Order: sequence, then C-alpha cells, then structure tokens
Amino acid sequence: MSNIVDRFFSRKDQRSAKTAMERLRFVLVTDRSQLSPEKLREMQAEIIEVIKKYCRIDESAVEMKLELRERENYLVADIPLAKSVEQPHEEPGRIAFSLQTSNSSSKLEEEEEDSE
Amino acid sequence: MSGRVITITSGKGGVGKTTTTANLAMSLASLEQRVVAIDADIGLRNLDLMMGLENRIVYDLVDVVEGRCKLKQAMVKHKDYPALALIPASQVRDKTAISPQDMITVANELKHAHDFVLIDSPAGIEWGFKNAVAPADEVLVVTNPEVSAVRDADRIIGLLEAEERPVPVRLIVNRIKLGMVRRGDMLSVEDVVSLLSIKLIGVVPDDEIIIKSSNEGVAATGRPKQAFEDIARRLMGEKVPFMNLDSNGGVLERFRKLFGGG
Repeated sequence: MSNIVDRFFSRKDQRSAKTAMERLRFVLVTDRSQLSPEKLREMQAEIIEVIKKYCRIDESAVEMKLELRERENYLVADIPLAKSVEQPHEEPGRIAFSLQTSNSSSKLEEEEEDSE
Repeated sequence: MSGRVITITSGKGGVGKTTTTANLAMSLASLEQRVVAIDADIGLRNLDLMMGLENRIVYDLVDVVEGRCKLKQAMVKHKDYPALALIPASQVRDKTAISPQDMITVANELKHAHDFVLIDSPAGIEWGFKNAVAPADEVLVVTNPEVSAVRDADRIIGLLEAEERPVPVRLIVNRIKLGMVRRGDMLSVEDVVSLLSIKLIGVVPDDEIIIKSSNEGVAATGRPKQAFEDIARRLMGEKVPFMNLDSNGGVLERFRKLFGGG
C-alpha cells in the first residue's frame, strides 16, 4: 500500500536527492584528495606500467577509484592478473590495494586476495 | 569560570549563519546564560539587524581593536535580554583591519565575564574566516541540504581539521524541507551527515517564520525557535533528543501518512 501511495505522490523519474548524493560523493572525494579524474587516469596508467614490469595483468579490467570512508579518503584499486598460459600451475589471482589519501603519510595496505 | 568561544561558520554565504548566531545567542540568553555575540563580518555588518540592535550602535569591533574605545563601550546590550550583548562589525572598514591575534585578545577578555562568546563568521575561507575561527574553542558549521552548501561545508571542515590546534566541529543542517526529503528531492539530514561525517548538533526546519522574525529583528518563534533552543541546550551539555520533523507535515504529508506512506 505504502508503495502505491509513494508511486502516486512521487515522480519516479525525478529522484534528484539521489543524484545529488552521487554527485557530492564524487566531488567531495575529488576535492579532498585534490586528484582530478584526469590526474587519476594518468596515475593509473603509470601504476599499470610499474605492475606490468613484474606480472601480467588484465589491463582492460583495471579499476581505480577514490572512495569516501567517513572523513578518510581512499584510493582503491582492483587489478586483475591475467590468466597465465605459459604457467598453468599458477592460479589466476588479483592484486587489490587501497591507498589512504587523507593524511600525509599515505600507507599502502595489502588486501586479501579476492578469489573469483 | 571561563566561558566558551563558539564560532559559527559555513563556507558558503546565505545558508543562515547570521540568523543562526542571532537565534542561538537569544536562546542561550533566555536560558539564563551570559552571552556576547561578535559580528566578525567586517564591512558587511548584519548581526545587529538580526538581533534588532541596529539603532543602538556607537562603537564597533574595529574601534575596540584600534583602541578608540574600551571593549565595554562597544558592547550593545540587548533590549529584551540583559545578559546578552552584541559587538557589531564595522560597516566602513574591511576585514584586514583585524588580525587573528586581535580576535583572540578580544575573545579572551570576554570569556571571563560570559558563559558564551558566539562569533558570527563571514562567508568564505579567507581572512575573515581565519579571524573568526582563531579564538574558537568549538566551531559550528551551518549548511543547507543542497549540493553547493554541502561541498563548501566539507571544505571548511577539512580546513578546520588541518588547523594547528583542531577544535571540535559540529554540524547544523538548516532549512530542511521535509516534504521535499520525502519525495526524494532533497538531501536528508542523514545524507548530509553521512557525506560530511561530523557530529550533528541541530536541525532547523525551513520556515517562513524566520523571514518574519528577521524582518522584525526578533527571535524566531514556532518550530525554528524550538530547534535553536534545542541547539542551545546541547551547547550547554544537555542531552536533547532531535526534533521529530515528521510531526507537523503539510496536508500532503498527513494524507500520505494516512495511507501509511513513509
């Protein structure tokens, strides 16, 4: 019942508060880290180059984004390793790390391997 | 006992800083606190209007700082609350007439004889803001449930956290329109708090009463008055539950409720 009333009184296509939330989440983390989307892309490319020196990764699936957690900001990266053909004994894995950007002493923390 | 210096700021202009400062000052005074409110918006004096004291000003903050009068002489006593005084901003000078150290000196002197020294900060993050927060023991950030106000509040909070001497910062969400929140067309108080991740000290509903009371230079009445009084009590250390903004919705709200909506 409540749903029907909700639907009647609110235009479903116009959830502007939700849009505001999403836009603010993005802009606050960008403001706080002073890392523009362009800079982030640039950094992502550089990081990928470094990682590629050591292992093969699935570049198309790399995801790097800034994330708000309370008043701390994180750089979160999801970097899937490429499935290896030459060394079939190796399990396909992924590197995941997050980098805290809110304080000056940025720390690199290893996260547990995600199994897919 | 020494009083507390509380600065009211926002980053963005027009979110209701001065109205909030005036009403908090009057609420605290009505709760028998000794209060002095300082208008730190040099060049854009307005707190006097909100408190209905514009006709009584002789000296201002810059006169005090530059030694043309004693601090006491610049304090304009409120007509309704004898324990409340205003130190007006200068209307002719600009903000560079005062330094953060001047503000600390003035606030320290006032602290001894008052329970609360409220400082109304100018908008922005420049000189005037730095002056206003320099002597603060606590800061209240006023924002509206609106994208630019929230973004600016975040910036201000970041600056305050980065201060050499970080002080407690609490949030006031002003001008909330429950009907719009219900329709999903306004950020809710929870949304704003989750984005800014600081402690909430008050929620003030959007109400035409505010315009009327500011027209007359008197304290707000009705629900805004209650909201400001709640904040005043929380400042005094009382545990006051947050106002149920649901309780007095419009016809549509009541109709929705009748059908179990929300």
